Amino acid sequence: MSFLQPIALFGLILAATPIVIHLLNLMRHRRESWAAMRFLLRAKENSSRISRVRKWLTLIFRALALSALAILMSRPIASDDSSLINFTKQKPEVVMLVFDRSSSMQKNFKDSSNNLIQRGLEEFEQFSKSWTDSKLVVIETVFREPIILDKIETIYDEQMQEFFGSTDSGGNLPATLNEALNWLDESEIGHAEILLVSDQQETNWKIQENEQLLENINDRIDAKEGLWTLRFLNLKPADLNNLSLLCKSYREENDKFYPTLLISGNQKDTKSLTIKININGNLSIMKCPFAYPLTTWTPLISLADQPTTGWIKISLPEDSFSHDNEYFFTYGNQKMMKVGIHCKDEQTKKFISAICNLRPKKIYLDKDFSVQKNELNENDFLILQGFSTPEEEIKIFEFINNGGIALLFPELEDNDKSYSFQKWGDTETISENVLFEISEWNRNEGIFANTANQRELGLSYLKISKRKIPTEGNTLAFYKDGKSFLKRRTLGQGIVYSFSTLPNVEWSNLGDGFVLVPVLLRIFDECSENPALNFLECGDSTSMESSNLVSITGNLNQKPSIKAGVYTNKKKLFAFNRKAAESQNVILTKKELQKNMSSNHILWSDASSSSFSFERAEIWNLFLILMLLFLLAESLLGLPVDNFSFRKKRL
Amino acid sequence: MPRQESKFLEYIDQRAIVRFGGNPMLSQFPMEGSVSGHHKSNHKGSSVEFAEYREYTPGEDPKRMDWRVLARTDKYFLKEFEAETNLRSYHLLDSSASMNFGKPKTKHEFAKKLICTLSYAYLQQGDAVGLSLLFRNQNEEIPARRNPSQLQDILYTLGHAKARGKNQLIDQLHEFTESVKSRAQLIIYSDFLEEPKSIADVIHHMRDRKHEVVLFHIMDRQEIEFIFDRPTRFIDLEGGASLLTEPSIIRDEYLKQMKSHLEEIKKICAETQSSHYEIVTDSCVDEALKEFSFERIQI
Repeated sequence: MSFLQPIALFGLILAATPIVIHLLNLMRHRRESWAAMRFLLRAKENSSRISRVRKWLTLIFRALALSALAILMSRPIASDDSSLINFTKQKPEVVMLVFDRSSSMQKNFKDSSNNLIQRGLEEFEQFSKSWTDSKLVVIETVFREPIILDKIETIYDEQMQEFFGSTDSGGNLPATLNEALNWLDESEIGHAEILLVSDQQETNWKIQENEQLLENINDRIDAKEGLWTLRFLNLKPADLNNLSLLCKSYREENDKFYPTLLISGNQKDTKSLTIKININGNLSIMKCPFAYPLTTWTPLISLADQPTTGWIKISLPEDSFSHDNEYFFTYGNQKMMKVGIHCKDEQTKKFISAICNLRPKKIYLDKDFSVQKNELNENDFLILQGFSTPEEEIKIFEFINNGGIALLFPELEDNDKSYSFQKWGDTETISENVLFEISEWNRNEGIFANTANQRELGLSYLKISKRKIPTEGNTLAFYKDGKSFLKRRTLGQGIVYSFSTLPNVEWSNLGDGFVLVPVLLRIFDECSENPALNFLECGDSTSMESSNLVSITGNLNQKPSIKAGVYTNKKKLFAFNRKAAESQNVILTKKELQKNMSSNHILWSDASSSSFSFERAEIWNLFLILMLLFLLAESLLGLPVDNFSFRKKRL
Repeated sequence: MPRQESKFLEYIDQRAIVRFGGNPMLSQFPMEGSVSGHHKSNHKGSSVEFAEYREYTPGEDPKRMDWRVLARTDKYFLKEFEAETNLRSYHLLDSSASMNFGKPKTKHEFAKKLICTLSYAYLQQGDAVGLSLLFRNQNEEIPARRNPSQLQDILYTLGHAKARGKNQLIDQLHEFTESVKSRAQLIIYSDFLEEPKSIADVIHHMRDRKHEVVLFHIMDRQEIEFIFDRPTRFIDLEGGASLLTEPSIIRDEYLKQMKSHLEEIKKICAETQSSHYEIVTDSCVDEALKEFSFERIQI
């Protein structure tokens, strides 16, 4: 229980008033000459213990009534603590909201017209009411930067919609939570109450990938021994009629555009859908047959009489959750990809060249590419292994920053050469009997995803005896000891892939090709299909770093990091779509989360549609009733005992 | 002296005299008076009221012989009549310090008024009135006399009497009872804060001596109701220990004790054919004497 007007608790001192008055009265007694002393003395002797108990009970009830009045005036509010009143627990210095702003949070809360984001903010408002003097901090999944609020009402401000409104982005809750804890540590916050509001979509947690991080968070909270309390609030969306649109792939042939669309729905009786196709602002309608629950549909969209570059918007009919009903494309960005190979190691050069030759129609290969001689442009793809001059390094950095893609292999020599776009660890060698093994990678998506017939890539069969670990970027595949096999780093508008080993027999059997060929082809595909960043998603690093983009399909202030749509910059078009993972409806359960986060200071609750989870209802009426009861008891004690005995006799 | 007399005459309540003075107040038991009066005597005499026939014994006065009976029956009978005598009324005033309690008048002062009023009435009807102030060590007494100056003496004595000292009412009453030789009316004015058993003993003693016993039980309103609003230190008027208490707590028990005490005294009086009147000091004298006079005028 906490209080909205705690200063009124000083009124509890008043509770002692009846007893003080009683003692004062005893001190300031009157003197009376008396004749019938023998009756008085006898009455005093005979006055039963009950009379004395009655007197003290009367005083106690008066004191309790005054206490109830004081508490009533301090406006008590109920809390979810197990104890009725917890005075021992200090007020938190910070009340923090870790807020999931992923696209799925735009769904409606069950039995409510509010969406999950609005509900989450309302829950936080109720949550923060318990500690009115504490500092309010919000950290959300898009920008992952703490926002300090001067008052709770700020979360509803129109101007703050960029930080608290809905988005089409995804969310990385472990990373956001980690950022939150980092901030608390850096700010030397002793006591903090952290509320994490989310729909607990599995893709926002990625438990397997973030296992280490979650354990780390758990340990950090445990180490605080209760000073930091983390509460998960699970918001369940309403289960309403919904259709969802995703694009698996697309291709352009002559003046035709073939998107492969995945349309999912939860209504069994839906047989056909009316699809709106918007090409550069020209609307057309198409009919799509639908088979519950998922339909793959590849319409033919003619681009005849359209500009050479442009955009397409495909929309499903309106439903309960319209944010997953649209998909944006750009076309006309494809060109022949120029791949330059600059490798000192001949074996590596040979393998890479062979792989590039597998796509003669798409790839123009320059085997002896020279960074210094050649002009680099953003459509190029560089495969680099061993280069040394600072001029080369600067040139490559600018190339990547402007949207180029580079695939890096480590140096043969055991030197400590580090570049501004990648740093490498020491060369690690191991005996042939016990080789470096790759144990973990994302089998569902990305360049290591399983094949169409669900067969795994043979990463676990790789025999690696020598490696140099790249340090910059996100790891796409892990060795058994947790180190990175391949890293992907987004730099400016470009991407850097960094292998930890070479397709050299002294280093590994990567040259056998069962891993390197599909991976490299997928990287080519990814880059050739998207040389101008076609498959972009809201909230990813590209969207965050693209500051000069202007929306074509939405309002001018719209930002690609938040809102899906087609954006333009220097006559180049970029289609940013809702995070694909947000369409997955797998919800993380409490049990799954508790496997990695089992601290006693991490609590879990489910939001209820009937009332707020952390609602601190004012309970002054309870104390009003208590006060009246105490006064009633006091009055009953004041009645003469004879009255009772008389009634008893009559009965 | 005349000024003093007029001052003490205020003790005689005129309203009471006007209200009850018309008819004589008679004793409830036969009295032994020295002269003829309104009260029934334990001797036969020559009044107008026939008492009985009795056989003549030689030597008796032949004047009282009923000649008509002799003529009808040829037997000698004496015709006897009730004797009527005067009354000796002794007023015994408890003058212990406890009688000094009471507002607006103390119990002692109120008792004085009762005594003076009754003395006046009795003297007016020719009865003898005596007074005894019962102090701790010695009594101050005025013997019963019927001459008009007796009232002056009583007024003067009472006017200068002050309640003081510890209560030794019972002993004094026993002593006084012994001193009164013939039948008399003993009217006791007291708060009777004594053990009921000792009160019973003394009333029995008086009744054994054929006295008519009347108890004026004088109490103050505060003693009866015991209403105090805050803690009070009660100080014994007769010099005993003081007591600091919360009156509201012991009130019920006090009233219970008081009620029980009164009931016991009433019971004793009923057993001994004595009269008991509860008098509250805030009442008027005529009201206080109403019941007493009503019972005696009727007789």
